[in-house]
Amino acid sequence: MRILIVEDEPELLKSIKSYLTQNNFLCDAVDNVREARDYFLDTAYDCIVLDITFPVGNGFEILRKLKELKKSCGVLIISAKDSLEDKLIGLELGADDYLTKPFHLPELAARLHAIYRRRAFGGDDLLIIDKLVVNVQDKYVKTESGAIDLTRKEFDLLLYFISNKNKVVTKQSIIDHLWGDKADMTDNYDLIYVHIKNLRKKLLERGCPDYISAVYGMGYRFSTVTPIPAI
Amino acid sequence: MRLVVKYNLYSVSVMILVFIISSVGAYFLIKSALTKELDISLLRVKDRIQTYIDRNHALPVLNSFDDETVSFQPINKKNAEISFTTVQKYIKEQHKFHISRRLSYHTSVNNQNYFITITSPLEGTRHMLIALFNITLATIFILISCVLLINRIIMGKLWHPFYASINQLHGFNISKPHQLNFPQTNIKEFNFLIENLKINTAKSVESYQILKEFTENASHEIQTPLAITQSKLDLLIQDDGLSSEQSEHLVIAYQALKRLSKLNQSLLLIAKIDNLQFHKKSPIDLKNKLEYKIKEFGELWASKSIEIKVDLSDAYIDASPELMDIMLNNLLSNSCKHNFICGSTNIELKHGNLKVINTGQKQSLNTQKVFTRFYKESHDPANNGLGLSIVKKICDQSGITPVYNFSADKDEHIFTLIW
Repeated sequence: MRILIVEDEPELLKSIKSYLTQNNFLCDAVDNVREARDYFLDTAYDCIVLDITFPVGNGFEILRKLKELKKSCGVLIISAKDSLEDKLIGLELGADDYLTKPFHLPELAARLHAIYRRRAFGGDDLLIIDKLVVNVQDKYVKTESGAIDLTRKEFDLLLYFISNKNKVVTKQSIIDHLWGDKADMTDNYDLIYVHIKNLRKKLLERGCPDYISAVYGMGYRFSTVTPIPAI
Repeated sequence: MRLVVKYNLYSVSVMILVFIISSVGAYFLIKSALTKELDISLLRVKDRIQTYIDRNHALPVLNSFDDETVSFQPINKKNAEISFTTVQKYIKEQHKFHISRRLSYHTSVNNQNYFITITSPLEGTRHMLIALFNITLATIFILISCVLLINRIIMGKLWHPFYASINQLHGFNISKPHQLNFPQTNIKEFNFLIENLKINTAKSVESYQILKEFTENASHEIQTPLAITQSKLDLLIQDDGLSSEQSEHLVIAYQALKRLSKLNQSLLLIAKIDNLQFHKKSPIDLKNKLEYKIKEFGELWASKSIEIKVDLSDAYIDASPELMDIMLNNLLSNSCKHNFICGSTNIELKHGNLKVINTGQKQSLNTQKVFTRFYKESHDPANNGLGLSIVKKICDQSGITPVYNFSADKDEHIFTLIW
C-alpha cells in the first residue's frame, strides 16, 4: 500500500513515516503543498495523509487538484482544527476520513487500512491473518474450526489489532478507537480489559494461538509470531 | 417606562401647572378690573348724589331698587376722606352674605355733616370664578388630549428610525453577520446613532473574526506539539528493550499528555460556545436522545456495577443538537465518574426538566462554585474541573437553568436542568 504523507511539521512527518513504514506501508513524505502536487502527479498512491494548514497554501487545494485530475486515491485529513466546518469542507471535497490532532499512530494506521479496504475491495474482502479469516463488510471472523461469535466491540478491537499487527497499542488508544467521542467519558481501563479478555478467550477456543499479549502496563500487542518474552 | 410616556408625564404636569398659575393670575386680574369698574360706577353714584344735594339742598330719597344701597348717617365731625372698601354684606333677598364694594365719604347738607356709604355688590366674581375654573379645566383637558394624540402620532413617526435600528440589532448575530439594513433618516441624532451602530457592529464582527481565528490558531499551535509528543511516545513504546520502569514512566507521560490535550480541547470548546459557534437550534426529542445515550453509557455504568433507574417522559427542547450532546455526555459521564462502585444513578425526564441523580461522595459540592471553571472538590488528575462549567455555558446559551442539590439523607448529588 503506497502512501503519500503531506505534513508541514517535520517531526510529526518523521514519526508518521516511521510508524507506517514499520507497519509495511510504502511511504513518501513531503512537507509542502507544491511538492505534494509533483509527487502525486508522478506516482499512483493508494492513499494520501493530508494536513490542512500550511505556511503556504492549504490541504484543500490538494483535494481540489485531486478531484480535478480524477485521481482515485483515498485521502485521510489530519488536522489540528477540530471544526465541523473544516470536516465538512474536507469530506465534500472528496476526503475519505478526518482525524484531529493529536492522534494515536495506531489509530492513523487503522483508518488508513479501512480506507484502503473500502477503496480497493469495496469493503467486500477477506483478510487472512494466520489462522483467522476476517470478513470486514459482514463483520464476521472464522477459523478452520468454524465462525467466532464476536460482539461489535470485540470485532472492532480485533480489526484494530490487525491494522497494527506486531505493534504495541496503548490502552488509551484502544479506548479512543472503540468509544470515539465517548472515550473522554471514561477513565476506566477495566472496560477494555474485559473486551480483550473475552476476545482472547474466543480466539483461543477456536484453536488460534494467543495472538494478544499485554505489554507491561502500557497496552497490548497483537502478533501472529511468538511474542518476544518480556525482559 | 417608555420615553413618550415619560415625556408626556413631564409636559402634561408642566401644562397643568402653567394653566393653574395662569388661571389664578387671570382671576385676580379680572377681579381687579371688575373692582375698578365698580369703583367708577360708585363714583358716578356719588356724583349723582352730590348733584342732587347741590340742587335740592336735601338728601336724596333712597331708591332701593338699584343694586347700589346708599346710607346716610349724620355725624358731627367732618372728614374729607374718601375710601373704597370691600365688605361682606348681608343680602336679605338671597339670605346670604355677598362680597360688596363700598364707597364711604362725608358731605354736608344744610350744615349737617353726613357720613355717606354707597355699597354695590360685586356680583360677577363668584360666577367668574366658576367660569374661569370651567374654562381652565376644559382647556387643560382638550389641550392635553391634543398633545397626547399628537405626541403619539408624531413620536411614533419620529422614533421610527430608532426602533427600526434596534430591530436590526435584535436580529444581529455576530457569528453569522449579514448586511444590516439601517433606516434612512434626516434626523441628526438618529444618524449619529446609526453611524455608531454601523461602526460598532462592524468592529464586533471584525473582533469576532479575529477571536475566532485566534482560537483556531491557538488550537493549531497547541495541538501540533501535542501531536508530535504523542507520535514520539507511540514510536517509543514499540521498542522491545524497554524496562518495566521505563514503561511505567511512559504510561505516566501518556496520561499527562492525555490530560493536557483534554484540557486544551475543553478550553477550546468553551471558547467556541462563547463565540456562539453552535447557534443553530432545532427541536430535539430528549426522550429519544436520552434513551440512545443511556444505551451508549450502559457499558460504562456496568463496568462500575452502577444501578441505573430511568424514568423518561416525552420532552422536547429547542437547542443546538451538538451542544445538547456534549451537555448530556458531561452530565452522564459525571454520574459515572464521580460515583462509587455499586452506586446508583437515577435519570428522570419530565416536561421541562431533567434530573440526573447519582450517589457519590458523602458531602455536598460547593453550590456556589460547582459550575465555575477549574472547580475541583478533590485532587483528581482525571478531572480538569471544566465539565460542569461547560454544562453551565451550554445551559446559558440554550435557555436552561442548571441547579445542583445534595440530598444529605441519601448522599445523592442531584443535577436538575429546568427549561
